[in-house]
Amino acid sequence: MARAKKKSAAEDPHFSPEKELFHPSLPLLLAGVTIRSEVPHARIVGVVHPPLPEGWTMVLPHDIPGNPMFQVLRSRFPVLGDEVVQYVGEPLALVAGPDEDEVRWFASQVRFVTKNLSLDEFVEDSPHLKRKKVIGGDKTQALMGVAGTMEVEGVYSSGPQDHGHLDPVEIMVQVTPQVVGVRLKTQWPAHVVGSVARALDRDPNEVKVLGTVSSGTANSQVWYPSLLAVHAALLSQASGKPVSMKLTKEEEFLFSPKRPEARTLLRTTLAPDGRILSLMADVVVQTGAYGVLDDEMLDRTVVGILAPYKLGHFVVNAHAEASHTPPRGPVGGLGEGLGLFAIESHVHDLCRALGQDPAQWRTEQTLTKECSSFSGVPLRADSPLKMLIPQLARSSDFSRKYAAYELMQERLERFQEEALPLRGIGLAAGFQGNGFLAGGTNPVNVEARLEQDGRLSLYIPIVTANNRLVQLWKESAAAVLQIPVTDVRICPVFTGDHPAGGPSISSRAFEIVPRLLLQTCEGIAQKRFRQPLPITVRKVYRRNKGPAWDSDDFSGKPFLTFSWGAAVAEVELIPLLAEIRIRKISLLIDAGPRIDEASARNAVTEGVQMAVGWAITESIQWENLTISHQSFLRYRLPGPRELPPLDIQFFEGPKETAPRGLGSLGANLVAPALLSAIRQAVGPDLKSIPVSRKMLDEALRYHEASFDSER
Amino acid sequence: MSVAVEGPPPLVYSPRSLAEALALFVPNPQAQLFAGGTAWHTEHLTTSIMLPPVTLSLHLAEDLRRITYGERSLDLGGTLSLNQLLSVGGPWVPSILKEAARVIGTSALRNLATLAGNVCQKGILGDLFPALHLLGAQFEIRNLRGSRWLTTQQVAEEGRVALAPGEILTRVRIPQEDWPQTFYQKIGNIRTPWDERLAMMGLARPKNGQLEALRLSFHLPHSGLIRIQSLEAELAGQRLPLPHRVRSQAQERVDEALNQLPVPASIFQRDRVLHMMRWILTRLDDD
Amino acid sequence: MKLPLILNGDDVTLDGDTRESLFTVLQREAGVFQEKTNCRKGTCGRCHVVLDSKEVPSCLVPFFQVKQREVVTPEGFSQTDEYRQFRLILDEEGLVECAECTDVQIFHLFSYLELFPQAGKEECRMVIGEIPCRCGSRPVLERGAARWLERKEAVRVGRR
Repeated sequence: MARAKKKSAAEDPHFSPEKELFHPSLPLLLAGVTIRSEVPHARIVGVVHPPLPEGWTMVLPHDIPGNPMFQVLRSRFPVLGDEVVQYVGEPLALVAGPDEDEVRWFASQVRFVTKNLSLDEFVEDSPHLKRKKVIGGDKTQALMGVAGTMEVEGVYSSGPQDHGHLDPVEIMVQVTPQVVGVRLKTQWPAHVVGSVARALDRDPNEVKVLGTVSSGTANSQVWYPSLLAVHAALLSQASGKPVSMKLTKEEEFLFSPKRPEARTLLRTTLAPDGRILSLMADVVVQTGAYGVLDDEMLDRTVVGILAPYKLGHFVVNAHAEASHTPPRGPVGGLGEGLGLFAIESHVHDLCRALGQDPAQWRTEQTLTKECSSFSGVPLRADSPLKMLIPQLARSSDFSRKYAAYELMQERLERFQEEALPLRGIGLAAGFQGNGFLAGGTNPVNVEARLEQDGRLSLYIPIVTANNRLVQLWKESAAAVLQIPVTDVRICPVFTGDHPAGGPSISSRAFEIVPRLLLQTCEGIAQKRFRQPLPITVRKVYRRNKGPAWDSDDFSGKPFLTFSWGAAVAEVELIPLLAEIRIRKISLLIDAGPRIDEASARNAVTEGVQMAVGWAITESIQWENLTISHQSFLRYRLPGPRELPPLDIQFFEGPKETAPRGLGSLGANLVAPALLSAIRQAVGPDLKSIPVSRKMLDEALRYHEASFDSER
Repeated sequence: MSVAVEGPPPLVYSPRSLAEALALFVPNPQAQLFAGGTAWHTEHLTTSIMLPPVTLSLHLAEDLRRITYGERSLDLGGTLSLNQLLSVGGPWVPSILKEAARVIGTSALRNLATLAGNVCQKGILGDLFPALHLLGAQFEIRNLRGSRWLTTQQVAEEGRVALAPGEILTRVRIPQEDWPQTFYQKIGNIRTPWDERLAMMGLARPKNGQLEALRLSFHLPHSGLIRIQSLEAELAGQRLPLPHRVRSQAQERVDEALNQLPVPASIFQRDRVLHMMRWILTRLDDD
Repeated sequence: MKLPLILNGDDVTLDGDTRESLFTVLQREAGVFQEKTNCRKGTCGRCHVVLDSKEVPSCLVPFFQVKQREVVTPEGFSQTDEYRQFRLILDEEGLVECAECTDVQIFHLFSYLELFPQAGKEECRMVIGEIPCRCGSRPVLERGAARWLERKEAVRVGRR
């Protein structure tokens, strides 16, 4: 389809966010509802439903005018399940009518007739297992271990996690011959544009996305809003009317993407001085149906395991396991947190086996400039962890407390008689990888337009609720052009002209936008008073060609930039209640200079809270391949008892000029630090999160039993 | 206008006094009472307020929220909210009752939730009943013909406060007694799986090196209430600190009681109960 | 059913069904709580209003109970001097506004302090924790609450 000539987003006369295009009381607005599969895996042979009332619209897979496949980077899956259903809750059809309650009732009466797959079909359609094998050094030695050395083995598991935001999910779409207007909360407006255009077979320049403020920076609904936008757009196109689609809280909890579950077996052999001579890892990451973003998440999980420390020979067998459950997603990060959780929990076991201080071991075993990374890239300097870990250990008094709490374990009788709290302290180190492995080459552009009335409109490819950042952008723009800050507005309208808008979770935009913003304003300043208004300037950032990431070879530089950090968590276990109280969490972070200190702290705090929930309070149980209703009713974000004083410090190198992302660091670092602390307090056998009260109770019983046997 | 409900709207009366409420039962014998509405609704997710066909809403009846300070007892109105209970100053409301109320829901929810609502809706499985039981509270039930009093012992045996049609729980009477030591621990809340929830509460009166009186109960949602009054009687009069033999025997009695629950306690609950029992018995000390 | 009530200081009449919650009617009839959802269990805090000086979850309050009563919503409270003063403190402490919870948190805290004016810092911390949210603003809210209490105490001591 021929593309219309690219117009600047600011010049489009057909669409203006100020118009009442999406007012909730818009007449003729239809309510749309998704009709979902009630079975996990079957062939669809027909659909039965009550007569469709006049003025209502129903969309089935064959009604999709454009591409029926939804795409996220290299992953593709049906917009509406067509031949074979892959999970309970999979969208199969859409229906819209004037009254939401009536539409929901109608949807509940729709029955998709299914039949079981034949054995051959079943085998052929089995959830796929994407495999990756990464080898470094000698494979045999990696697998068999090095003779005459100490061997340590453990299996570390992490559970699923919901994004946890209570914002209502509501998408509004109006499709007209000239424009497709979409209003929704999204971190990735460019993806919304592309997805809607593809499904409707429209020019992306005709798709305008009005991004409303989403909640904080940790809202990890990266691609899911785009799918919902496609559904609403299909209904609007078919009906000729604007459509509003809302998800109930239960619907959202049951079917929106969750953090993937992961299970990692790690076996290492160690030299007497603590060096890892060989490492064998077997990783399974559960990606749900269709394996959405499995490549990205799997690679990042493996990078998380291999990146931080010096390794001898290594073999990693990694599997992304698809299943007949809803697709998982990048909640709390894009995958390296899963690998870091495993390796950092394993390091806890290594240090116990060696009798070494965990801070000291880590400092000695992080990479130095003489090393190459696991992917063969020579380092030009020591890993920042070499400095961060000992500095944090000193400021948090880690080593002294670690030794003291180890001694506490030897005084069990006091614990039993007086039910004193047990204490533990844990340390973890790691990183956040910035930019997608798979798609890090998209340009980022910023556009500024000085209007005829002297006001400045800024088109920035990020949707953020961060009032401070928005104010900073406005102030820096106003300062360059010497206009009042109140004359600067941020326009949250995204079109096909902004192909690299987000996702904010990948953080590139936060790194690059301030620079581009200044350049556009300086460009306007140069043209001002020489050209008539309005004046539009656009600046584009394209990634320099450098070492690319080869996923097949597992070689090259995986991320545009790394942000590094270390965390210490101190806990107390109250035996009487089998309850964990977190006494303090300290972090030291190297993510470059901060655009705004308060925003940086806020982002790290969000990540820490995410980690606490992941490690302790947030639990999801599966029942018959769907999330149990009880999980929905009982899902609990951390409360004040679980959120202790935080000590967040930032490190800034002298030559750093650009900020780097840090939204996932809290989550990546604090979860393994917490588990280490809990394990020191109550027992080495706890190797999975979330740590439930039952698990603590069992560990305490084991504690008592070993005390009784010693007496 | 779209309303997510079906059928004819219910008939709702909002009497301004107890007398008016009782009189309304005459033409409407099957009318059901609505106080705060929280106990029912927090367990049923609905977009509308589910009301029976005829509802008596007690939100305007001020006389059902009175607090009366007597010489030997405190009377609390049935529709007193939990926050109103918590706001009562001084030592009038026993701390154990305040502790039990304080951990129910959020502070906003406690402005709606009522004493009678919690007791009537949840019965012995509610958060307040165990504390009221230990305190020896009584419940006044009134209808047009008069009133009767229920003891918590009777409620414990029934499992709930059985209100006949036309009856209202109007007052909760709490004896004013001196309990120098109180114990209260609660694990979990409405979001916790039932097999990881429990509460323990105790009242002790040590005097002159002896345990003059002790009351102790464990509350397991789904399983019920454990209170061994014979054990309390045996421990009363013991010298403090309690000897190891006495403590062990007391623990064994509690262990036996756990085995007799109609719905067995989970391993977690059992462990916690025994831990807490051990903990309390070592903390009873002379004043 | 049309009921008169006072909403954020204004006399209004709202139309609702007996079985509707106050939250539903306010959202539909008065444009309050736009873009807000709630848990329908009274635990998320997003629907809180002050009803005759008592903070309640409006999703659990039947509409029929509010006849001729006074309702204040977070939107209404955000127009008060108290709110503005507290927001200034929070901005100084580095608040990154959360679209989900900032106004709800402030409303909740102040409603609690109205009922329990002697509440201390730790109690305020627990109260702030009653509103679950993923955002990172909790430490800022806690510091802001501590400063507010100190200011109140300073005013009280100054008056003596």
